[in-house]
Amino acid sequence: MRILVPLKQVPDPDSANKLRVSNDNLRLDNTAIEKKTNPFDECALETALRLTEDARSPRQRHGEVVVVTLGPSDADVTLRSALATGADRAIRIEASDDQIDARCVAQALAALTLREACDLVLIGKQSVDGDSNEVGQRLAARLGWPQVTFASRIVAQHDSRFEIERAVDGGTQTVAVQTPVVITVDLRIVGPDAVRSTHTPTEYQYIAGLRFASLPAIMQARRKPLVVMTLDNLGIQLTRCLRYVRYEIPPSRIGGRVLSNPGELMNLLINEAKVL
Amino acid sequence: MANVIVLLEAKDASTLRPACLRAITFGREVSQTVGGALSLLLLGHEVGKLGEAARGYGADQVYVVDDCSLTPPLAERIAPTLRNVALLANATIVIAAATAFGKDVLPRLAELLDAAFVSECIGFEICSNDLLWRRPISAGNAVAYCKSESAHTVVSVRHTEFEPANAKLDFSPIEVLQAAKAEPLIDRVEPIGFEIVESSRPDIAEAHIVVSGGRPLAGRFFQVLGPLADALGAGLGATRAACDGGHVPSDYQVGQTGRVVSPDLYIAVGISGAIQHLSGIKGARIIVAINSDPEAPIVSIADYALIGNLFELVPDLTDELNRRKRDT
Repeated sequence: MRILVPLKQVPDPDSANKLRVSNDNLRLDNTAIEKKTNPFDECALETALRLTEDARSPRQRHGEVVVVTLGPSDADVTLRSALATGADRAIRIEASDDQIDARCVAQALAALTLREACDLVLIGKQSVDGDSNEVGQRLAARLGWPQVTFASRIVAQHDSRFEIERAVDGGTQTVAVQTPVVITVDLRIVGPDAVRSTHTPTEYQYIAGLRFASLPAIMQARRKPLVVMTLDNLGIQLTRCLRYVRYEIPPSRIGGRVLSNPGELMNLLINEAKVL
Repeated sequence: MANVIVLLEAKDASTLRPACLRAITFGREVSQTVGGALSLLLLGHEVGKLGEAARGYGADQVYVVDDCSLTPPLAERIAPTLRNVALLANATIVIAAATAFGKDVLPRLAELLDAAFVSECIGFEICSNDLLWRRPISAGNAVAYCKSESAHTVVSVRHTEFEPANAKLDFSPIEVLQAAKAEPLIDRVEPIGFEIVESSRPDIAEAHIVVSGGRPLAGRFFQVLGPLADALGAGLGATRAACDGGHVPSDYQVGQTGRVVSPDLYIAVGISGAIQHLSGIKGARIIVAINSDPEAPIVSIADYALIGNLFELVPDLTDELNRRKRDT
């Protein structure tokens, strides 16, 4: 099994309230915010690692995990840290943010998926900056593959068949799917029992969350392959279809009264706020 | 001029989901602004009654596709049919509510139509002859205006921002269409189970009052918040931390990655107010925080903050509510 995990570098979501807009409202200014890997994509990487290992000896991969990002050389940090966490190799497709939209990303990823002969793409269900929840579904459509979105649990039955739990309106749906497939993951996919490979014993419980790279692994990651490609290498011509023309920072809510008595709160909700 | 089509969803065999009634309102505003026709589309199996219900909203046309391959709804089957209907109806703007269903299907449709996708749209405007769509980004910390540069535009609407459409007296004409042919290579997702989250309380996306709880409630979540929600006739929500703790179903999650609510009154109990959670409650009219920590971020944005021990304050508030209800 060869898994492609696309990673997006985003402004740290915990500092999103430091976002600013240029005076002419034409540009978003996030230069003051540290960059990190989109948390949903980090979960997709963790999922890929869990699916390709026996958790008792996680240094040996059963299959291959390829990480990819689109961006300038700054984005190499994201790829190096993925390599240190356990990915086998990395590809950066040279592109700049103002040149591409979600459709372009799907175009580039589709070309790469075919070129690398991947049979599974694992990707975060949304990026925390764009919040569009779009690329995975577009990629599946473009490849002519099925899609399983919002996955919260994946059980591999064998290397090419999975049972997947996904969040739908009003509950949880379970589906079975054969590869090739695009799966978009929810943050819950990193629970102790959320991903089962065919190699890890069923009773094994992971520590909830993402794994950390050890110092030797970080050193070793420098020797793992990181290839830079251009869109020309992939033989594609991007056609964007959505353009952001203006931004605003919404007015922030201002706190009101601090109380200590439930009766007083009741009175205010009835008489002042008029919501009861 | 652009024609608009709104994809509807079934709540059950005879009622439409409230979310899509709100999407109709949005669709009508768009079609009136751009001066095109409004049509509604219902996909599913044995949806005859619903098709009739859909005729009552004053659209220029209602389309129904009734096919057993469309239920349970899978994006691989819905999206191609939706594309065919959009092309046939000559609709260049396709709208659906940003429910899990809409979020699953619409980006796939956008790719099939070579179209722009506008996710979680909260409004639109005409600016020097361009139709600009407004949408929150970065967990609602900024609002962006975007413009489609493709022939078609697919829009998921944050339905909680719009009122439900009212039924009208006149009836739209109805046309029954065929589903797209299944494509065996793509059609490989096999639904094998569905676990419903049963609740006797109102749906949080529709409720006028929502009571939500955070991690500190742990195993006492329902014991503490249930009586308060019931006394208020409120829906019950939770933070991601509370859901991840395993005491609350994940369907309860409110926030950037969960559900978006816009009630008149949102009562946040033991919720610190992480950016990701606040993202889901920006539309709430009044926010009440009940918290032990006066420094919690939520206190700085709440209209009213009740500071103290949750496990005493919440039952006291519930008793007070019930006492006043008895007295009136």
